[in-house]
Formats: sequence, C-alpha cells, structure tokens
Amino acid sequence: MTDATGLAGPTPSPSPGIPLDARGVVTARRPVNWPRLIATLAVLAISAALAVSIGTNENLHWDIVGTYLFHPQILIGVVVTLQLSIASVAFAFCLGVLLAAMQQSKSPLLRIMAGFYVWFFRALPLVVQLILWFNLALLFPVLGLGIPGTPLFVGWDTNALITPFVAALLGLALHEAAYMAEIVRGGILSVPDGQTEAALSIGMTPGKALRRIVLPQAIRVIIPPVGNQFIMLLKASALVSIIGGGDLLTKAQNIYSLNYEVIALLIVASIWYMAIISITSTGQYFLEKRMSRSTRAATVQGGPAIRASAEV
Amino acid sequence: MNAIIDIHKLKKSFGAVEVLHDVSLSVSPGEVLCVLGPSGSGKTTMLRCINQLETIDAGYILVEGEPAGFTRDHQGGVWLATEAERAAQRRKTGMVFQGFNLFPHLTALGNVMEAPVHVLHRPRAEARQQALDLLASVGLADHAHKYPAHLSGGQQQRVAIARALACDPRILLFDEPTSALDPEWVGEVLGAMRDLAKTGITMVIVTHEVGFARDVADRVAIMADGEIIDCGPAERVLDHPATARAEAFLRRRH
Repeated sequence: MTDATGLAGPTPSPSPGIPLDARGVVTARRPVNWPRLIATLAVLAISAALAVSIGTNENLHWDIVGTYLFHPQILIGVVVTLQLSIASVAFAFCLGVLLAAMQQSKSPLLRIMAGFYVWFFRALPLVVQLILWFNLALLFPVLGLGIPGTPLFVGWDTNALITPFVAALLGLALHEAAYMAEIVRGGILSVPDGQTEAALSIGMTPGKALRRIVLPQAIRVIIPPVGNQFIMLLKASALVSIIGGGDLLTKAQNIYSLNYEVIALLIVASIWYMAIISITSTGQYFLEKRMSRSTRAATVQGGPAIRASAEV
Repeated sequence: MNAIIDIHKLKKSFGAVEVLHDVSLSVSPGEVLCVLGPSGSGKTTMLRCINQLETIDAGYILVEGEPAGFTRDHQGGVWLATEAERAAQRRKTGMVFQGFNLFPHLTALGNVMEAPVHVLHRPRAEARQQALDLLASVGLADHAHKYPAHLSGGQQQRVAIARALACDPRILLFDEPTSALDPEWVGEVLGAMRDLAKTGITMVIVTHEVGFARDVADRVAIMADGEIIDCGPAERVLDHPATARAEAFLRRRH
C-alpha cells in the first residue's frame, strides 16, 4: 500500500540492494496485512449498518429525546444521581480508612471485625442490600438509642427515617466502603515499613504516624483507584431506581410510565450518564497523570537502600 | 557513674530463631560506643530493642533509669506502657537508620520540624529556627527547602541525623548509617557524626567502619551469634581482643 520513495541518498549504500533515504535511513515497502484489512472493513460495515438502522428507525423518536433532555424532572434526577454518588463515595472513603486502620490494628478482634465487614459487604449483591435497607422497617419498626432496663429511649419511626434516598445512600456507601477499605489498605501497605519506624523513632504514637506520615504518602496510590470507584458507583447508582431512589433512571422511568416513550427516555438518561462519566473520566485521567508524576519523584529516595544488605 | 542505657540479659527471637542470647551491656552518659560484628550477629536487633522498634522476649533495658516499654506506679508496680507512654520513652532516643527513612513528602526542613511541631507542639517559628540551625550544623543550610528525592545519599543521611536531634534526645542510636551509601558520601556522614561525638551526646553506633570506631569510640563492643564477645576501651578491643572469635572477626575486617 505505502510506496517507498527509494531516493538515492548522498551516502553510498553499505550493501548493494538496500535503499537509504537522504538521512541514511533504510526505506522499505510495507506488505499488505490482509487479515487486518478485512477486519477493518467488516467492523466499518457493521457500524454503518447499525447507525443507519437506528438513525432511520421510526420507532425511535429523536424529537422526544430532544424534548425531555432538559426536562425539569430529568434535571432533578441528574442532581440526585450526583448527590448520591458524591455523598456515598465520601462516606465510603471515610469508613474505608477506618476499616483499613482496624485491619492494621494490634487487636485481633478489631482485625477480625474489619475483615468480616469487608467479606460481608462484598459477598452481598448491591441490589439485595438496597432492597434490604429500603425494607428495614420490617425488621426494626423503630430506630433509636436507649439504655436497657431503663425507660430512657429516643427513637424514630423507621419508615419516616429511611426514605428511598437514605436507603439508597446507605446501600451504596456501605457496599462501597468494603472496596474502599481494600484500596486504602493497599495504599497503606505500599508505604515502606521504614516510614512508620522513622515516625515512631521521633516520638509519634502509631496513630499519629499513620495520620501524619503514612496516609499522606498512601494517598498517591489511593486516589487513582478511588476515581475509578467513583465512576463505577455513578453507574451503579442507577440500581437505586428499583427502590424509587429518585435518581436519573427513576425519573426517566416515572416519565415513560406515563407516556410510554421507553426508548426515548432511556436514551435521555444514557446521554446524561455518558456526559457525566466522560467529564469525570477526563478529570480522572489528569489526576492520575499528576499522581504518577509525584510518585516517581518520591520513589527515587528508596534507591540506595535497596542495595544495602539485610541485617538481622 | 549511673548508666544511661543498661541492657540486662536481653533475649530476642524471631519465630524459632533466637537472635539475642542474654545480652548485657551498659552505656555511660556522654559515651560513644561502637558495636561491631559480622552480619546477622544481632547488632541491629539490639539497637532496635533499645528504641522499642522490637519487643523484647526476656530481660530488660533501662533507658535513663526507666524500663523501656514499662511504667512504674508509685507503689512500685510495673505496668506495660501504653502507646503514648512508649512514644514518650522513644523521644529520649534519636535514631538514624541505614536506609535514611526520610519522609519523602516533606522537605528537609519539614522532616526536621515534624517532631518538634507535631509531637512536642512547640511554636512553629521556634521549631523552624531550631531546625534551620540543626541543618546548618550538618552542613545543609542551603538545602533546607529541597525534597529528599533531590538530595544525595550523604545529604539525606545528614538530614536524618538533624531530624533525630530535633527532639533534643540525650541518646542517639545509629543503625549502620553508612552501609547504604555510595563510597563517595561515606566521609561526609562520618564527619557529621564525629562533630556530634564532640558535643557530649551519648551515641551507640552499629557500624562496619573499624577505622571510624578507632578514631571516635570511647568503647567498642564486638558481637557474634547474638552475644557480646568482647567489650572495652576502643584501643584495647581493637588491638588486643580478649577472645579468639573477636580476634578472628577483626582480622577479617582488615
């Protein structure tokens, strides 16, 4: 396909028959890669067929998509989806740090409890958890605090307290915290033991060493996967529509249950999801680039120590 | 003279392997003690026990008269120290590590200021001035605002010495401070330690530098297989070792 110019260079060829260009670089023809060419043409053909069939489909009302794209209810749904995602990631991150700290603890009970939490919430499907939280009133009709054996009790009606939004927030955040705990633990383990030892040797308690020395370094390793989790959570937040969480998909479903424009409203929701995720992915890309740069600068320090012989 | 560090019949095992067998050693205030010995002889472990980076299995270590890792109530009862109490005990000793272990996310100045500001809660301005003075004393006044990644090994280790001094400890522990260094940087670190030795601070130095031990140490201890096989004035131990094993070790070193 590509043709070699084959210009005779000013320097003579080192061996006869090998063409060099003016800079002395070998020029050669590239043979046609038939399998690749066929694959490319096939993919193009299928994509074109799909685009035509969707674009000319009369059952797909693009005008309705346009009408509902900025419908007030849809916009409220977008805001709720963002609120849910941001609030659950923030809550999950804090709980994740706590769980990771528990897993580092000297107390076996704390370690076991943290391990149990991570196991439990990773083993349970998110949908099941959402339904469970939504129906919490069936298990505990009243939620409150009291001292056993005394009349002291403050309580609230569970149905009034656990609104669909609260159930959605609890489900997403508690589920996500189990994954966050693993990410934070990985980050903590990525910081060499010598850092903790140095912090202890200048008189810090283990807790302060974790907060002031280990976590600020671990955060570089933690931030990129947390960004990833946020994007995954944003998509997973659509699951709350099954408990009427009031998110983007719930709103779209509410509208199409009245006007039966199912596909058009799903496309409206999809466009919003894709837009939000494109924006966050771009942010995530730049964040990761920044983080990897500072990590590279930080790891230079470890160099000389690696050569050192281990001494018991 | 009361010992500032008194190690009594210290035992330490890692799993089934006992690396320290009944080690006893005392260090006087202001003394510079060099600990020599082959790799794996337990020198580093003993040093880490003094600073409670390792927990001891038997025996005890008195640092400035207090049992490391324990507290006493006024009735004379002995309690396991809490983490806060252990942290307070560690503050009496500064430690310099083989691998420097500087905090990479802080500048040289930040590394030295960390403990005075965040452990001792000294006023920032005061801690900053003290840290700058300490960095100047190890010849790094011009590098205060650089991050560890931008310093040479020798410079990093001198920052680590300044950091260890920042809590005004009366004891400095050195764990093979020059073993991880390129040969070109060894001299400047030993120089900084030589200057320190003149200030009267108590120093326990685990090292392979026999020449440095001869010049600077008041006393030298030689360890092998988890025991101290010779200990005494530097000249005597290095020139006339008391045991055949010590003599064999020193012969290999020359």
